[in-house]
Amino acid sequence: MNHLLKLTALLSGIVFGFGLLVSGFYNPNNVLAFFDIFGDWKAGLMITFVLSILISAAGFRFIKNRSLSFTSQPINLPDTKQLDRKLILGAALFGIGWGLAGICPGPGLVLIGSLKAEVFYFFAGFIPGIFIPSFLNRK
Amino acid sequence: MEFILGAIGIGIGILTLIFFNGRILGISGIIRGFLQSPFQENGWRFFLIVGLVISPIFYSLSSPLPTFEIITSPAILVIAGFLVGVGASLSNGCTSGHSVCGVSRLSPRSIVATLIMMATAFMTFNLIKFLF
Repeated sequence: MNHLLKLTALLSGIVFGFGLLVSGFYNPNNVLAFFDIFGDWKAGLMITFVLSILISAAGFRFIKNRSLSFTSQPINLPDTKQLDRKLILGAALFGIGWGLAGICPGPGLVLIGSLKAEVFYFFAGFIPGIFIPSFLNRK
Repeated sequence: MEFILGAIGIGIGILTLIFFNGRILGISGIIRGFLQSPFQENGWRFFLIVGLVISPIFYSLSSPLPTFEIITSPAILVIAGFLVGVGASLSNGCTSGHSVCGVSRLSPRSIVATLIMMATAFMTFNLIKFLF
Protein backbone atom coordinates (compact mmCIF):
# COMPACT_ATOMS: atom_id res chain seq x y z
CA MET A 1 0.00 0.00 0.00
CA ASN A 2 2.79 2.38 0.92
CA HIS A 3 4.46 1.81 -2.42
CA LEU A 4 1.21 2.26 -4.33
CA LEU A 5 0.75 5.71 -2.75
CA LYS A 6 4.27 6.70 -3.79
CA LEU A 7 3.55 5.56 -7.33
CA THR A 8 0.23 7.42 -7.56
CA ALA A 9 1.87 10.61 -6.24
CA LEU A 10 4.64 10.24 -8.82
CA LEU A 11 2.12 9.63 -11.62
CA SER A 12 0.02 12.57 -10.49
CA GLY A 13 3.09 14.83 -10.74
CA ILE A 14 4.07 13.48 -14.16
CA VAL A 15 0.55 13.83 -15.63
CA PHE A 16 -0.01 17.26 -14.09
CA GLY A 17 3.39 18.41 -15.38
CA PHE A 18 2.56 16.96 -18.80
CA GLY A 19 -0.60 19.09 -18.83
CA LEU A 20 1.41 22.21 -17.99
CA LEU A 21 3.83 21.39 -20.80
CA VAL A 22 1.24 20.56 -23.48
CA SER A 23 -0.87 23.65 -22.76
CA GLY A 24 2.23 25.88 -22.71
CA PHE A 25 1.41 27.04 -19.18
CA TYR A 26 4.95 26.12 -18.10
CA ASN A 27 6.42 28.81 -20.39
CA PRO A 28 6.45 32.19 -18.59
CA ASN A 29 6.26 34.01 -21.93
CA ASN A 30 2.89 32.36 -22.65
CA VAL A 31 1.59 33.32 -19.21
CA LEU A 32 2.73 36.93 -19.68
CA ALA A 33 1.06 36.99 -23.13
CA PHE A 34 -2.11 35.79 -21.34
CA PHE A 35 -1.87 38.86 -19.06
CA ASP A 36 -1.36 41.17 -22.06
CA ILE A 37 -5.06 41.94 -22.56
CA PHE A 38 -4.49 45.37 -24.11
CA GLY A 39 -1.77 44.15 -26.47
CA ASP A 40 -1.29 40.94 -28.41
CA TRP A 41 -3.55 38.95 -26.08
CA LYS A 42 -3.14 35.18 -26.14
CA ALA A 43 -6.33 34.02 -24.45
CA GLY A 44 -5.87 30.28 -25.11
CA LEU A 45 -4.75 29.48 -21.56
CA MET A 46 -8.24 30.52 -20.45
CA ILE A 47 -9.55 27.38 -22.22
CA THR A 48 -7.04 25.26 -20.27
CA PHE A 49 -7.93 26.97 -17.02
CA VAL A 50 -11.72 26.62 -17.38
CA LEU A 51 -11.62 23.07 -18.72
CA SER A 52 -9.25 21.85 -15.99
CA ILE A 53 -11.65 23.32 -13.41
CA LEU A 54 -14.60 21.48 -15.02
CA ILE A 55 -12.74 18.14 -15.10
CA SER A 56 -11.67 18.56 -11.46
CA ALA A 57 -15.20 19.60 -10.47
CA ALA A 58 -16.62 16.37 -11.92
CA GLY A 59 -14.05 14.34 -9.97
CA PHE A 60 -14.50 16.18 -6.69
CA ARG A 61 -18.27 15.74 -7.03
CA PHE A 62 -17.71 12.02 -7.47
CA ILE A 63 -15.77 11.69 -4.20
CA LYS A 64 -17.85 14.25 -2.28
CA ASN A 65 -19.64 11.73 -0.10
CA ARG A 66 -16.72 9.40 0.41
CA SER A 67 -14.51 9.73 3.45
CA LEU A 68 -11.80 7.37 2.18
CA SER A 69 -9.87 7.30 -1.08
CA PHE A 70 -9.68 4.22 -3.37
CA THR A 71 -6.69 3.12 -1.30
CA SER A 72 -8.50 3.74 2.03
CA GLN A 73 -6.61 6.93 2.78
CA PRO A 74 -8.53 9.67 4.58
CA ILE A 75 -9.62 12.35 2.12
CA ASN A 76 -8.24 15.70 3.25
CA LEU A 77 -10.39 18.55 2.00
CA PRO A 78 -9.89 21.98 3.55
CA ASP A 79 -13.15 23.27 4.99
CA THR A 80 -12.13 26.75 6.16
CA LYS A 81 -14.82 29.20 5.14
CA GLN A 82 -13.44 32.38 6.66
CA LEU A 83 -12.50 35.19 4.28
CA ASP A 84 -9.81 36.93 6.30
CA ARG A 85 -7.21 39.62 5.74
CA LYS A 86 -4.45 37.04 5.31
CA LEU A 87 -6.26 35.44 2.37
CA ILE A 88 -6.80 38.75 0.60
CA LEU A 89 -3.33 40.18 1.26
CA GLY A 90 -1.71 36.86 0.31
CA ALA A 91 -3.62 36.55 -2.96
CA ALA A 92 -2.72 40.14 -3.88
CA LEU A 93 1.01 39.62 -3.18
CA PHE A 94 0.90 36.37 -5.14
CA GLY A 95 -0.74 38.12 -8.09
CA ILE A 96 1.88 40.89 -8.12
CA GLY A 97 4.70 38.33 -8.18
CA TRP A 98 2.95 36.24 -10.84
CA GLY A 99 2.36 39.34 -12.98
CA LEU A 100 6.03 40.30 -12.70
CA ALA A 101 7.54 37.09 -14.06
CA GLY A 102 4.71 34.82 -15.25
CA ILE A 103 5.97 31.96 -13.07
CA CYS A 104 3.93 30.19 -10.40
CA PRO A 105 5.16 27.23 -8.32
CA GLY A 106 3.91 24.31 -10.49
CA PRO A 107 5.44 25.52 -13.77
CA GLY A 108 8.51 26.53 -11.72
CA LEU A 109 9.07 22.87 -10.77
CA VAL A 110 8.53 21.73 -14.36
CA LEU A 111 11.17 24.27 -15.46
CA ILE A 112 13.82 23.04 -12.99
CA GLY A 113 15.04 20.38 -15.42
CA SER A 114 15.80 23.07 -18.00
CA LEU A 115 18.57 24.18 -15.61
CA LYS A 116 17.98 27.76 -16.64
CA ALA A 117 19.53 30.14 -14.10
CA GLU A 118 16.33 32.20 -14.15
CA VAL A 119 14.36 29.35 -12.59
CA PHE A 120 16.76 29.22 -9.65
CA TYR A 121 16.50 32.98 -9.12
CA PHE A 122 12.74 32.48 -8.83
CA PHE A 123 13.14 29.72 -6.22
CA ALA A 124 15.80 31.74 -4.36
CA GLY A 125 12.97 34.20 -3.64
CA PHE A 126 10.15 31.68 -3.36
CA ILE A 127 11.61 29.33 -0.73
CA PRO A 128 12.39 31.97 1.94
CA GLY A 129 9.06 33.58 1.01
CA ILE A 130 6.91 30.56 1.92
CA PHE A 131 8.42 30.44 5.42
CA ILE A 132 8.05 34.15 6.23
CA PRO A 133 4.39 34.06 7.37
CA SER A 134 4.88 31.22 9.87
CA PHE A 135 8.15 32.79 11.05
CA LEU A 136 6.44 36.12 11.76
CA ASN A 137 3.55 34.32 13.46
CA ARG A 138 5.88 32.62 15.90
CA LYS A 139 7.02 35.92 17.37
CA MET B 1 -6.18 21.43 -29.24
CA GLU B 2 -3.08 21.72 -27.08
CA PHE B 3 -5.08 23.83 -24.62
CA ILE B 4 -7.69 21.07 -24.28
CA LEU B 5 -5.12 18.28 -24.01
CA GLY B 6 -3.24 20.31 -21.40
CA ALA B 7 -6.41 20.74 -19.33
CA ILE B 8 -7.02 16.98 -19.43
CA GLY B 9 -3.49 16.39 -18.08
CA ILE B 10 -3.92 18.96 -15.33
CA GLY B 11 -7.35 17.55 -14.40
CA ILE B 12 -6.25 13.90 -14.37
CA GLY B 13 -3.15 14.79 -12.33
CA ILE B 14 -5.32 16.48 -9.71
CA LEU B 15 -7.87 13.64 -9.62
CA THR B 16 -5.19 10.94 -9.36
CA LEU B 17 -3.90 12.57 -6.18
CA ILE B 18 -7.31 13.04 -4.55
CA PHE B 19 -8.70 9.61 -5.62
CA PHE B 20 -5.71 7.60 -4.47
CA ASN B 21 -3.80 9.68 -1.93
CA GLY B 22 -6.78 11.67 -0.65
CA ARG B 23 -4.82 14.88 -1.08
CA ILE B 24 -5.42 18.20 -2.77
CA LEU B 25 -2.84 19.02 -5.43
CA GLY B 26 -1.65 22.39 -4.17
CA ILE B 27 1.94 22.91 -5.23
CA SER B 28 3.01 25.67 -2.85
CA GLY B 29 1.68 23.80 0.18
CA ILE B 30 3.33 20.60 -1.06
CA ILE B 31 6.72 22.35 -1.45
CA ARG B 32 6.42 23.89 2.02
CA GLY B 33 5.41 20.56 3.57
CA PHE B 34 8.22 18.78 1.78
CA LEU B 35 10.86 21.25 2.97
CA GLN B 36 9.61 21.06 6.56
CA SER B 37 9.51 17.28 6.72
CA PRO B 38 10.57 15.67 3.43
CA PHE B 39 9.51 12.05 3.86
CA GLN B 40 6.55 12.12 6.21
CA GLU B 41 3.30 10.35 5.25
CA ASN B 42 4.87 7.93 2.77
CA GLY B 43 6.87 10.75 1.22
CA TRP B 44 4.03 11.45 -1.22
CA ARG B 45 5.14 15.11 -1.48
CA PHE B 46 8.64 14.06 -2.50
CA PHE B 47 7.32 11.71 -5.22
CA LEU B 48 4.88 14.29 -6.55
CA ILE B 49 7.65 16.88 -6.84
CA VAL B 50 9.91 14.33 -8.57
CA GLY B 51 7.06 13.58 -11.00
CA LEU B 52 6.71 17.24 -11.91
CA VAL B 53 10.44 17.74 -12.30
CA ILE B 54 10.84 14.69 -14.58
CA SER B 55 7.64 15.32 -16.59
CA PRO B 56 9.59 17.04 -19.42
CA ILE B 57 11.41 13.73 -20.04
CA PHE B 58 8.09 12.02 -20.78
CA TYR B 59 6.92 14.95 -22.86
CA SER B 60 10.09 14.84 -24.95
CA LEU B 61 9.34 11.21 -25.89
CA SER B 62 6.30 12.40 -27.85
CA SER B 63 7.52 15.72 -29.22
CA PRO B 64 10.63 17.89 -28.87
CA LEU B 65 10.66 20.32 -25.97
CA PRO B 66 10.26 23.87 -27.22
CA THR B 67 13.04 26.25 -26.31
CA PHE B 68 12.44 29.76 -25.04
CA GLU B 69 14.13 32.55 -23.15
CA ILE B 70 13.09 33.99 -19.80
CA ILE B 71 13.55 37.70 -20.33
CA THR B 72 12.87 38.86 -16.76
CA SER B 73 16.00 40.19 -14.98
CA PRO B 74 17.51 38.21 -12.07
CA ALA B 75 16.58 40.82 -9.45
CA ILE B 76 12.94 40.92 -10.60
CA LEU B 77 12.83 37.11 -10.64
CA VAL B 78 13.98 36.92 -7.01
CA ILE B 79 11.42 39.57 -6.01
CA ALA B 80 8.67 37.83 -8.03
CA GLY B 81 9.53 34.47 -6.43
CA PHE B 82 9.52 36.04 -2.98
CA LEU B 83 6.09 37.67 -3.48
CA VAL B 84 4.66 34.45 -4.93
CA GLY B 85 6.06 32.52 -1.94
CA VAL B 86 4.85 34.89 0.77
CA GLY B 87 1.49 35.31 -0.96
CA ALA B 88 0.83 31.60 -1.49
CA SER B 89 1.82 30.86 2.09
CA LEU B 90 -0.35 33.64 3.58
CA SER B 91 -3.41 32.73 1.53
CA ASN B 92 -2.73 28.97 1.86
CA GLY B 93 -2.73 28.22 -1.84
CA CYS B 94 -1.62 29.18 -5.30
CA THR B 95 -2.75 28.60 -8.88
CA SER B 96 -3.15 24.84 -8.44
CA GLY B 97 -4.63 24.69 -4.94
CA HIS B 98 -6.91 27.74 -5.09
CA SER B 99 -7.54 28.48 -8.76
CA VAL B 100 -8.08 24.94 -10.03
CA CYS B 101 -8.83 22.64 -7.06
CA GLY B 102 -10.53 25.22 -4.83
CA VAL B 103 -12.61 26.86 -7.54
CA SER B 104 -13.72 23.44 -8.83
CA ARG B 105 -15.00 22.64 -5.30
CA LEU B 106 -16.70 26.07 -5.19
CA SER B 107 -14.75 27.04 -2.07
CA PRO B 108 -15.58 30.70 -1.34
CA ARG B 109 -12.02 31.34 -0.11
CA SER B 110 -10.52 29.98 -3.32
CA ILE B 111 -12.92 31.90 -5.55
CA VAL B 112 -12.06 35.17 -3.77
CA ALA B 113 -8.32 34.35 -3.83
CA THR B 114 -8.43 33.51 -7.56
CA LEU B 115 -10.23 36.73 -8.50
CA ILE B 116 -7.71 38.79 -6.52
CA MET B 117 -4.70 36.85 -7.87
CA MET B 118 -5.87 37.26 -11.47
CA ALA B 119 -6.78 40.92 -11.07
CA THR B 120 -3.46 41.87 -9.44
CA ALA B 121 -1.44 39.83 -11.95
CA PHE B 122 -3.21 41.49 -14.91
CA MET B 123 -2.77 44.93 -13.31
CA THR B 124 0.91 44.39 -12.45
CA PHE B 125 1.80 43.16 -15.92
CA ASN B 126 -0.03 46.00 -17.68
CA LEU B 127 1.23 48.68 -15.29
CA ILE B 128 4.82 47.62 -15.91
CA LYS B 129 4.24 47.45 -19.64
CA PHE B 130 2.72 50.94 -19.54
CA LEU B 131 5.55 52.40 -17.44
CA PHE B 132 8.54 50.88 -19.23
